[in-house]
Amino acid sequence: MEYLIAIVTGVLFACGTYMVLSKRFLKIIFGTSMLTNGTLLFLMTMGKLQRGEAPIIGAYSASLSDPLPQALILTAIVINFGITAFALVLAFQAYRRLGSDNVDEITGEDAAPQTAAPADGIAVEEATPQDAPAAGEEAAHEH
Amino acid sequence: MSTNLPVLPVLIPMITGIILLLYRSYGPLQRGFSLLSSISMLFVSLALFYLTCTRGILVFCAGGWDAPFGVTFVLDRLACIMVLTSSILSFTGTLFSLETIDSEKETHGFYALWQFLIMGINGTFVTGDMFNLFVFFEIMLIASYTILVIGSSRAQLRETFKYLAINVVSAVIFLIALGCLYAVAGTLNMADLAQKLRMLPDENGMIALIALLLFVAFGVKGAIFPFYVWLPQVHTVAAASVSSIFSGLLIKVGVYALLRVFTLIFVGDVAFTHTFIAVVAVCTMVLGVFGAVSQMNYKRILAYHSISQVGYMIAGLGLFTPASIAGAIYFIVHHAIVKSCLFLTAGVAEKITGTKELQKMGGLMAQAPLLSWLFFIAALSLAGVPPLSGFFGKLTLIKAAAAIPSYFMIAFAMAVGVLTLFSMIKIFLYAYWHQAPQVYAPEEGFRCFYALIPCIILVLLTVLMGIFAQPILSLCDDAAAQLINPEEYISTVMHTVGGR
Repeated sequence: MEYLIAIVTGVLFACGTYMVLSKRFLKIIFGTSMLTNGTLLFLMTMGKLQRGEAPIIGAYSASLSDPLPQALILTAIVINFGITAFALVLAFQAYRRLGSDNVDEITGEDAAPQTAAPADGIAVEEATPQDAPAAGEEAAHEH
Repeated sequence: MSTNLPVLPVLIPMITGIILLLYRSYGPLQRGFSLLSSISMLFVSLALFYLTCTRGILVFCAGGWDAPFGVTFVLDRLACIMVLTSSILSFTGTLFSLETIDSEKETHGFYALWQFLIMGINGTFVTGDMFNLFVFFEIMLIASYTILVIGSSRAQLRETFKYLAINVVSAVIFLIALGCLYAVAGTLNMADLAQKLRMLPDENGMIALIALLLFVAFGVKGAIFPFYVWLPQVHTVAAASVSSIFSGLLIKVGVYALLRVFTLIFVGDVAFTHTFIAVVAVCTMVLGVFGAVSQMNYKRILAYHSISQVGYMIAGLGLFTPASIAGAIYFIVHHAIVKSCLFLTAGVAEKITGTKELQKMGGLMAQAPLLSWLFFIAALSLAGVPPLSGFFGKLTLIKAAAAIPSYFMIAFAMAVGVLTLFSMIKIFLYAYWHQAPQVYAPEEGFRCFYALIPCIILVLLTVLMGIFAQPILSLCDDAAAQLINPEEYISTVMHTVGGR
């Protein structure tokens, strides 16, 4: 069983690393997700894979299994869920605002803000007031 | 005896944050309540500081479970000093935000996020459990991503995404280290780990490997060579008050975690781990200051200086003598105060001139003399000019290095100090002294004096830290003594009865 989990962890890490090194926001998020899932499997293996009784006080048994790794994994899953959700929203917002989800296309110090046409006809629905001072600042840099 | 006090620095910002989140559209309530909360945090942390000095280490066992089983919160002197620093910076940062944050950001929950950020930061200072440290790191990071992206301009979205990606990978590394640590020692409580790892022989170099994995995970947060790439970019897009907290506290969290872990847990192979830390520290110092010398952007110069100054703190850890660790603690407090102040002056200068580029600035000396002098004092303090706190921080570290003796370290520390002075003077000449390229029209409704009040407080603090260097250094000595001889920490934590 350890070997199987080790191989799966390795595959997840390899895929995750490859994806994180790519240039698209979405791929990077999938990559970090895979990396985290690989880590969770790794955590489970490090707490020993065992078939024991549920560790409940009173029900004494010869083989109680260690509940701590599972508690840790559960916490880590929740945190990872939150961060992935935030990252997806961030990537979506960036795509709407910047018109691209390619890291190469959004570089540059003072590239023209929000005025760039969004790709694929997705309209920028809400132009927040922050854009105005930002645009003014960019204009000041041009002088 | 278990006491509930150590959980207060986490609880107060958390409750404030939740209340602020519920009433996001009430501007006056947001501002008033966050100011009230930060003032009460100041008093609470002063009281806690007094208590740890008189009654020793305070321990709280969550849920009444004793040390190795439950999650513990521990307040020793170092943790107290850090909580006090965080309260001061949270207070001044909130004051500055009251003047500079517009109502749009306010309704997007700026103040609530601020409180959650402080909660995460304080949590990392008081926790006594490695996994709990991870959880507080993540709370702090989620709050910091969100507070960074509020306003969602192009640059903010881009830099936040990069910052997020880097930190997620570092969280993965942290988790791997925790998994290995649990497999080796069978516990994640810091005091228990310290006890167990002292007994264990380092088979196959596993413990050294875990130590280095944790070094990487904390190094990313602490902006240590070679993981500092995210810092200058993030500071360029952040609001000034956010920058002041990022540079003053967020990177200190990484440094604090390193200090804690490498004095309490991983002290089995000092010749390897701490020499490694010292070498990395020198690289951080030198490369950070080179970055600063080559930049012409006000905030980016300051950000690169943060990196270089983190090098000094880590150097104190790397030398690993009581004097050097005391120096590092003093330096952490000094740098938090001074750098926070410098970032706030950058914010005021940007509000007046409308730019962060030094070439487009000038003549602020005539337009805002108070701002200029505040910047000047803080800059001299950062560079280490005698009556100010920076001098005593560097002096203690250099004296500690001379006692070892490690002349290599001294040479680099001195050279970096000169370059620090050089680039601070560069900002002063360009932004404050030169002729103004144009007449500036400050932002409407911006009241310069009110925005400068937090800077005045911070400058006063750096001057006082310089004048009262002796008593403050002796406090740092006590904190360092607790770190170097962790027996008190271990026995207090392990023998505290949870009270079930």
